[in-house]
Amino acid sequence: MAKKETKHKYVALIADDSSTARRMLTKELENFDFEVIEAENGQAAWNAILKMPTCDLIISDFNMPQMNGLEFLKNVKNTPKLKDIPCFILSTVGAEAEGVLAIAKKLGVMAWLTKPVQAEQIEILVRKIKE
Amino acid sequence: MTKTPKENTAKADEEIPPINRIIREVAIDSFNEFTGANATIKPVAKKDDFVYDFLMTIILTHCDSFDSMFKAHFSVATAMKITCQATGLEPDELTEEESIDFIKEYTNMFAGHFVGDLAQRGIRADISIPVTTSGFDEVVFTDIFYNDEYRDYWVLSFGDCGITITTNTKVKDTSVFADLEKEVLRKKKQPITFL
Repeated sequence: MAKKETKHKYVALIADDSSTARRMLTKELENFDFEVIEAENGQAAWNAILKMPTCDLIISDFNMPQMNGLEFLKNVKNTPKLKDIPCFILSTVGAEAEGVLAIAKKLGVMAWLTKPVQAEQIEILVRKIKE
Repeated sequence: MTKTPKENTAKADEEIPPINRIIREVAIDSFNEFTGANATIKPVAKKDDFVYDFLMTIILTHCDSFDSMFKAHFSVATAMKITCQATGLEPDELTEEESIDFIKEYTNMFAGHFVGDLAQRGIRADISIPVTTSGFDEVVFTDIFYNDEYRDYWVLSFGDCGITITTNTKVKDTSVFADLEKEVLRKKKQPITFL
């Protein structure tokens, strides 16, 4: 887990096994005043969020080793103090192809994003959680 | 000299079996969307030769009808060039590991988009996690179809560099061919799906 030592208004947790995907997403979120905590898989993200004093947004890749994104978000949504954090799934596979979309919806995942994520999509997402 | 139809010169689209054509199209579209490049397919000139480019990333796609292996052979220098072009970062702002990871993420992107393409044809498929290894020599063959397996190899070419792609697709149920002939619309810049 890597923590960026800067003062931002909001805090986000990104879980993705690709370091470059995390880096690109972090760069975009920092433009919207987010401090970003990075985790390289679902297990690392779960360990991280339990230690975070606050979190305003979670973006998790779906296909990751050790613990996939849906398993991680299931843990989050089943934990009373974390369940209200807006959660998003990020995947190379489009929403129409993932059989797990219904499960994600039932869990309370807010949206499904398809890689590569565009800057304007991050803007939409940030606006949505600030509503 | 008589031309062997199985030679992988890939001069005309009609010579390429549908499964190989779809993989090629999705691979190029995914690469260009991910990197902002304008890459093209270049046939491999040598036949029955080794592909050796120090690094190789492999990702698997599985469905009831076939299993497919997609391999990207590349060098660190190529990975650095691609990553710099796609991210706007300078070489000294990137580590070699990050650039290698970028190619790994590309293969992940390809497989995800391939699954999306198959879904539109009514074929449900799953993908593995991509793995990168080094020092892997692969022998490529001219036979496009051998032992129930469709093979393909070509260079994803852009600027002065390229990635050699090899694919092996083992067909378990030939009824899938009808689905592969369907026309599908490949969406670029997929919207956010709010649940």
